[in-house]
Amino acid sequence: MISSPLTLALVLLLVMFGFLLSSKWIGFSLISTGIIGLVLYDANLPPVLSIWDKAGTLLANSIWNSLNSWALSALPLFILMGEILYRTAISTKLLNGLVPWLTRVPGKLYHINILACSLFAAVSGSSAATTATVGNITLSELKERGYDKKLALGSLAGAGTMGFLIPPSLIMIIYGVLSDTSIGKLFIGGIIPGLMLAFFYSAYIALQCLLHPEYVPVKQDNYTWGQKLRALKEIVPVFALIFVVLGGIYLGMTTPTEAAAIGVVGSLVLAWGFRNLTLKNLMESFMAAVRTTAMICFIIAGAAFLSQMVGFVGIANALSRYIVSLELSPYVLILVVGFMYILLGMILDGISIVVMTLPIVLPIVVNAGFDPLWFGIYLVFMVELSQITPPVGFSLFVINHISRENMYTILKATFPFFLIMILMVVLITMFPEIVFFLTDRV
Amino acid sequence: MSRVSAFIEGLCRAGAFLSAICMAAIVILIVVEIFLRMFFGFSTMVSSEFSGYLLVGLVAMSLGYTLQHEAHIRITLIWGVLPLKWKNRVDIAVAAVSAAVTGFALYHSVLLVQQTYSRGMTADSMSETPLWIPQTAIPVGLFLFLLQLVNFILRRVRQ
Repeated sequence: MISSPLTLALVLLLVMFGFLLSSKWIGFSLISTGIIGLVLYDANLPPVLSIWDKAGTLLANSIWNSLNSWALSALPLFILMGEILYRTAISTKLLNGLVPWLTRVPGKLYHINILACSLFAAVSGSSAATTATVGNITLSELKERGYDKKLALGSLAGAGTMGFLIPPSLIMIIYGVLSDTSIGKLFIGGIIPGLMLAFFYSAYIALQCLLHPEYVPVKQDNYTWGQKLRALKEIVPVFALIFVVLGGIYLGMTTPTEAAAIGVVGSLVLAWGFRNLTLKNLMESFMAAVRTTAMICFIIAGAAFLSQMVGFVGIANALSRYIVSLELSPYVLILVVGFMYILLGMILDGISIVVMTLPIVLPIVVNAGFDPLWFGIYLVFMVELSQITPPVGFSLFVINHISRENMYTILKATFPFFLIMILMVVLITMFPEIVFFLTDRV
Repeated sequence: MSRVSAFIEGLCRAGAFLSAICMAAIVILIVVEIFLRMFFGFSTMVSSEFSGYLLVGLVAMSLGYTLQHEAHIRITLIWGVLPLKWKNRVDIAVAAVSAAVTGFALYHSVLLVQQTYSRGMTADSMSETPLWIPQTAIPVGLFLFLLQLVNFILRRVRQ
């Protein structure tokens, strides 16, 4: 049996990746690794208690304790809200409302992905949902009007990931629950980085179109101010929904879970207003939300057990001490952590990355002087990057599915937006005030 | 054999239906709470506590159904390039190990519920809910999950 926590950590890392790559479900891979960790460890247990009993008790308690959570119950509600909205005409409305305003901007309708994703991200907590809902309408619309597919695909991939950054955000809820950070503050901290990212995307698009005028079709639609204002009417319901969901959190009147429940009711009202509220849609929304919730929470429960094991056998402690003994500067540390996340992001989805690494990485990073709130936003960026890095990237899969373009074209189109996101990570690391600007004022 | 599959899938769908009810119940519970607080300055005192219990029920009861829809994620990087015959073999092996893990978790969750019951443990709140009631969802849900894993194997053995 292994008594050195560091050796054990290395062995378990191999075991875990063995399980993961064997195509075993991620939740089961985590639980199995946890059990093996306990069995391999040289535990000093009283002879009446077998290590298997210890493992079983820890497992059953982890499942109960990780799911019996008020804060985590925001998760299914925001998922349900997204599913209801996905089955409404919301993306068509966003398109109709925004198009008249874009005809005079350099890059014209290319900005539709950025704007529509930013707005939809403010009522949706997931990147996949944002990408799918917006992309479903915009990609074919841009193609029809003769826009170049490269910028259209890339901007959708980049902007779609903002579903996780612009509140509400499933990743922020999960991070907040696991790290005991205020979810409301995380939501507020994501606003400025999210808007900055959207701005950089748009700036890049405008620049590209100024350099390559052939990207933009010559045909010019002109809209009068009256038409523009009338078009705005189409997106008023979306703004109203954003206001009732996020307003309460910002004003400190509602908790994120309460805001989520209000959001469900709001999205039902909106679906009813758009005449999309049918019994069939409602049933489908509920069942899809149930599946996504079970999928995510199974991984959370597995990771909760794994983190119990990591604490019990002393891996978290030993690893922290080891990293401290390296005397890395905080910037080098965060750079190494960033590289690790990008590598993990290539084969794992964002939620798994967060729940698997947090018990080990968070203490180390906090020890190096980073604020947990700031690290939460940093982590959201890492998750966003994982959505668009091959071979496993959920946004890429979604775009592949709706555009029917081959993966290589999508990847090439996405790469500049990947770099812009990295630039944003560097900026929030150099200037953490970007994150704290609003949270310090609440 | 296909009748066994149909039976298991029906059970898991029923479980998922309960999950959907749990989800709706969380929404209603919280909306009622907000309404009472805003207009009557009154609180049910239980909405946050019961939401947690309902979440446990929601997740536990739908684990099997989620597997039925292949919605639990796994990394299919290597699996995806295998020939069909090997895909089936790997699936069976992986599901068998997972079923063993689920059985282990099921056994210990039954012990957990028993212990909570015999010690008369209640929630540390106004309602003093006996905790074994919400905890029971875990073994029931894991049992459905186990059945669905068996079904997953059966379907591939038959091919």
